[in-house]
Amino acid sequence: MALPRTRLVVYVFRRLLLLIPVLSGLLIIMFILSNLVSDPVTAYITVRTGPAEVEQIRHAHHFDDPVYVQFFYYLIDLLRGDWGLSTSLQYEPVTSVIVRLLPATIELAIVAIIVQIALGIPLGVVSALKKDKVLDHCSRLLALSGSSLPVFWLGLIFQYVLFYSLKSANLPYLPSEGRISYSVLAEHPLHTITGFLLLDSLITGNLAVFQDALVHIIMPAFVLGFAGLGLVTRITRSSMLEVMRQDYITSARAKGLPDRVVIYKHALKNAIIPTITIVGLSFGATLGGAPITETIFSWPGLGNWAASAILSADRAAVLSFALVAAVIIILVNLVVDVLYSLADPRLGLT
Amino acid sequence: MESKRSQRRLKELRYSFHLLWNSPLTLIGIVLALVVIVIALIAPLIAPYGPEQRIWTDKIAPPSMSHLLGTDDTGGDIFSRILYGYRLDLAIASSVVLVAVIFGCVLGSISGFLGGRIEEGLMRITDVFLSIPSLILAMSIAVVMGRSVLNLALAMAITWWPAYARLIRGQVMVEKQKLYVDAAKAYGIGNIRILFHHIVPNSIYPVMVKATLDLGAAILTTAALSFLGFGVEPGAAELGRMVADGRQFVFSAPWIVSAPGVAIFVLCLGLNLVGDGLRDILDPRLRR
Repeated sequence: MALPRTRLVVYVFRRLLLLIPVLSGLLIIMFILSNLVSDPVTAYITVRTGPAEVEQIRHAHHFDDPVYVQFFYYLIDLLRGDWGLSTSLQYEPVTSVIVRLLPATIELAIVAIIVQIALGIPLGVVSALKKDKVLDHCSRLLALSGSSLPVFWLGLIFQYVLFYSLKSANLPYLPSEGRISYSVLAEHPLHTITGFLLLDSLITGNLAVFQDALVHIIMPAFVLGFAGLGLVTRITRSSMLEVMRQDYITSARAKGLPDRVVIYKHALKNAIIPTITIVGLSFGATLGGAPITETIFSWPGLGNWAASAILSADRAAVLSFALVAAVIIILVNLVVDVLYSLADPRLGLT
Repeated sequence: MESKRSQRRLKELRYSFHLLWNSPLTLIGIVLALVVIVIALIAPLIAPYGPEQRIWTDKIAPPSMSHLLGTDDTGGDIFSRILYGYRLDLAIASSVVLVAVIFGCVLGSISGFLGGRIEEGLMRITDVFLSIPSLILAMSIAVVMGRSVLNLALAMAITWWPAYARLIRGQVMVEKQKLYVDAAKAYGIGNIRILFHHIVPNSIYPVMVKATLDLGAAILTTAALSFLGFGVEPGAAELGRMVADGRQFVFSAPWIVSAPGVAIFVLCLGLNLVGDGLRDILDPRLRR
C-alpha cells in the first residue's frame, strides 16, 4: 500500500517550512561568531583606503549600526543574492565561488559514498552470515579501523605510498593532489555542463579527461569514504541479523530456495532500509569532514576554501559555507526520510 | 525483595561478562584502551625525554636504540612526545565528552520529561546545532575565543552536547510511559526525583555507549583541529599537531608523521572496539 500522495506533499512542505527557523538560528549563531572574529568592513577596503573613507564605507554598509540591524541588512542582501565578497579569494563574490567550487565537493562526496556502500554493505552481510566467526571479527576490525584512523593522517600515508613510493619505483602511481592535471585539460579541453568533471567528460565523450579525473579522485574519495565505513557495515550487519531471524526467511529456506536467493532477494532487500538512513547521515558527515580531506589533497572544493577562510577571518565565506552545507545536509536528510517511508510503507511520516 | 533484585542484577552482570568473554575483539579493545590510559597517566615516569625537550644534535634521526621512534626536525624525541601527547589528547577528549554528556543529559531529560513548549524549543535549538557542520562551528568558535587548549575543548563541547540531548530525550520519552513511573507518582514521589532517580538511570545505557564511541571521535576531532592549526601552538606535544609539523617531511622522513598517527589509531581503535562491544552487550535484541 503506497502512501497517499497528498500526505507526502504535506509532509515535505512541513519539513521545508522547518528550514526557516533552523536556518535563521544557524545564521544568527554564525553571524554573531563571525562579527566577533573580524570587522565586516574589511571585505570592502584595501590597504590604500584612507581612514575617512573607511568610515564612509562602514556607514554605507550599515556596519556602524547595532548588530541586529546589521543582521537584518545581511538577510536582505542574502535574499537578494548578494552574499558578500570572499576576502581570502581576491574579493571574488561568494556566490560565484560557491557555484565554481560546489561541484568538486559534491562529486568527491558522492564518490566517497559509493566507496562506502560498495565496501560496507558486502562487509556487513558477510559479518552477519558468519556471526562470531573469524570473518565477522575481521570485517568488524576493518570497519572500526575506518572510524579510528585520523583522516588527515591516512591521507598523508596514502600520498606517501601510492604517490611517492610508487613514483620513485617507476611504477604507475596515483596523483597526490588536485582534481585534474592541467596538461590533460589543455590537450583535451572540456566543455563544462554540470561542473562535475566525471559526468561532463562522459557526456562529451572526452575519455582522456574522464580517466585523469577518475585517477585523481580515487585517493581522496577512498580516504573520505573509509572514515564512514564502520557505520554502514555495523548497521547492515545488525539489520541483516534481525531479518535473518524472521519466519519468512525460514520458510524461504524450507521451500528449498538456494542460499544466494534467500540472502540477496529476501533478506538483504529488507535489511537495506536502515542502511539508507545511515548513508544519508553519513553524507552530512562527509560534507562536514570536507575541510580536512580537501586540505590534504589540495582538492579545489568548498571545504578547502572554508578551512582557509576561517583561518584568515573571511566572514562572508565562512557564513556561506555553513549555510550551504546546512541546506544540503537538511535536504539530504529529508530525501532519506521520504525514501525510507517509500521503501517501508509500514513506517508512517510523522 | 531487595535481595531478589540484587540476585537478578548479579545474574545479569554475570551474563554480561559471559557475553564479553565471548567477544575477543571487545577484550582486545579494553586492553588497548587501558594500556594507553595507564601510559598516559604515568608518562612523566616512563618517558625518556620531556615533551618540550630538544636534542639539537639529533635532528630528524631515524628510529634507533637511543630514540625508539626517532626524532623530529627540531630534535624532539618522538616516543616521549607521543606519551605526553596521549595525556593531552585524552584530557581534552574526556573533558569534552564529559561536559557534553552532563549538559546534554540534563537538558534532554528535563525536556523529554516535561514535554510541551520547553521540549519543542530545545529540539529546535538542537536542530540548529546539528545542521551546522560541527567542524566548521568548532573552528569558528575556536577562532573567536583565541588559540588555546581550553578554548578548543570548549568549542568542541558546544558542538557535541545536542546529540546527547536528543538521544536521552528519546529514551526518557519512552521510559516515562512505563508503569513504574505511574506507580512512583502514585506513591507521591516528586517529579525531579522520579526523573533523576528512576527514569534517567533506566535511559542511560545508550548514552554510555555513545560516550565511549565519542571519546574516540573526540580524540580524532581534537587531532584534526590541531592539525588544521586550531587549539595548540605549532610544536606542541599533541598528536595531531605532531603530524602537521612533520607533514613537510612526509616523503623524506616518514617516521615523524607515521608514529603519532599510529598512536592515535591504537587509542581510537581500542575505544571503538569497547564502545562497539558495549553496544552489542547492552542491546536487548542481541541478548537472546
